Amino acid sequence: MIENLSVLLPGLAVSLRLLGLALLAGLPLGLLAGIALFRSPRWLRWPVAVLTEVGRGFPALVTVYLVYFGFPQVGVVLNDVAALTVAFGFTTASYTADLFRSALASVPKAQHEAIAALALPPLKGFALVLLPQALRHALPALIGFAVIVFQGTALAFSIGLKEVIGIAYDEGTLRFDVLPLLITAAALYLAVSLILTALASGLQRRLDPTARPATRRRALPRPAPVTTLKESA
Amino acid sequence: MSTISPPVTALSVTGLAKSYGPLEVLKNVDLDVARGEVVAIIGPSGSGKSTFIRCLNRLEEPDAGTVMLDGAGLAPSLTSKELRALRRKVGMVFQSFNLFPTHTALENVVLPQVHSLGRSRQQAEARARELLAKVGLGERADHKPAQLSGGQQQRVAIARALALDPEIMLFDEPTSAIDPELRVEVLRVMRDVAAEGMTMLVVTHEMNFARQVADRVVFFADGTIVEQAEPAAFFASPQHERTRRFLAAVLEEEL
Repeated sequence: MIENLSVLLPGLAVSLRLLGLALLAGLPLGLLAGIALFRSPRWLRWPVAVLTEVGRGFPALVTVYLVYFGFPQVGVVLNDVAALTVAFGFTTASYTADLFRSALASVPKAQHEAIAALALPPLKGFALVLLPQALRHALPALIGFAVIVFQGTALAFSIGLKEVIGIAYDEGTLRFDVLPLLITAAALYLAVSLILTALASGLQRRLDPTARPATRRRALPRPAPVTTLKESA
Repeated sequence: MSTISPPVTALSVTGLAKSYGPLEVLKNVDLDVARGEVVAIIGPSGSGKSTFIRCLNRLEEPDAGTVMLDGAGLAPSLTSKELRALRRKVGMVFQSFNLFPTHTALENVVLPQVHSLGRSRQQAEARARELLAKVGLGERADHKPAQLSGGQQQRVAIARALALDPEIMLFDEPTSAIDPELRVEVLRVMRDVAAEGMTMLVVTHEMNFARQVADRVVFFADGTIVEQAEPAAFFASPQHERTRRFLAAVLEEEL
C-alpha cells in the first residue's frame, strides 16, 4: 500500500495542479458570468446564459476532446495541461455561474432597500454589501463543486496526461494487477475530497458563527430564504 | 435662553397617492411636519402608514402628489443622482434592522459615511464610535449583527442612519420585530434623538411612545389620515368613530 502510494503521489501533484488551474480559470469567469446572469442588459445576459448552458450540457469529457482535438482544426494548438485548463475552466465557469447567480439572488430584498435608503451608489452597494453576502452564501456549494472538479481531473487520463488514474493504470498493467493500484488511487481521491469537505464546513462555521454545521453535501446552494419583510403597508 | 420663532416646515406632503393594481393604498394624503417635530403615525395594518413613509424616501414610487423637503420640491421622477441626494437627507430605520451582516457594527456605521457622503475613513470612524457610544453600544463596536440582540441591532441601525446627518428620520415600526423587554432600550434612544431636535416620523404600535414622546399623533386608516391631534387630546377625546374603535382595541390589548 505504501509503495503503491509512493508510485501514485506524483500523479496526485498533477491532479491537484489541474484542479488549481481549473479553479483559477473558472471561478473568476463564473463570478463574472453569474453577475451577468443576475443583473445585466438582455444583450449580455442572453449569450452568457447560452454559453453556460452549453458548458453544463456537454459532458466534461466531450469538452476536453473538443478543446484538445478540435481547437487545432481552427489553428489553436494547446498542450495537454493548457487544453485541460481551458476545458475544465469552461465547465467550472458554467456550473459556478449559476451558483453565483443564485447566491446573489438570495440576498434579501431588505438589504437592497438598506443600500438604497443609505444613498450608497449602486456599484459600491453591490461590491461592498451584496457581493460579500453572496460569496459567503455560495462558499459551501463552491467547495462542494471543487470536489467534483477534482474527481473530474481523472479525465486527463483520456488525453494521455499522467495523473493519478493514468499512473495507476500504466503501472498496474505492467504488474498484470491493476486492482490494488486503482483501490489506492480511489483512497487518495477520497482523502482529498474529505479534506476539502472538512475545509468547507470549517470555513462556513468561521464565516457564519450562528449557522448550524453543514452536514449534508450539497451540489446546489439552498433556495433563497423567504424575505422576512412583512407586507407592512 | 430660547426665542420663540415660527415653526419652519421640514416636510410638506400634498396629494400623495399610491395604488397597487386596483388596491388604493394611499388616497390623497396631505401632511406638513415642522422642523424638530415628532410625529407618531398609528393605525391598523394595511392602512397605508408604512407605504406613506416609504414614499417619502422613494423606496416606493408614489403615483401622484408632491413632497417638499425643507422647502425644496421634489420632481415626480428623479434621476438616480437626485434620488441619492434626497436619501442622504432622509434617514430610515427599518422594522427588520437591515444591518449588513458581513460587517461589524462599527463598519455598518462607517460604510455609508465614506461611500455616500465621501467622508474620510478616519472622520467616519470617529463619528461612528461617538454615535455607537450614544446608543449605548460603544463596547459592541466590533460585533457582527448576528452577535447582537434585536434591540442592539436596531440601535446600531439608528446610529447608522444618524451618521449621515439627515434632516429627517423615518422609523418604520422600529420595535415590532424586537422582544418586548428589549424594546425599551430602542425607545429610549429614539426619545434621546427626539430630544435633540430631530424631525421624526415614526410608524409605531407603541402607544406609550406616541403619548409621551410625539408632538402629534396621526391616525391612518384605509389609506387616508382620519384624524390628527397632539397626543393628550388624541388619546383623551378621539373625534372619529374609526379612531375610537382602533384605540379601544389597542388599548385593551395593552392592559
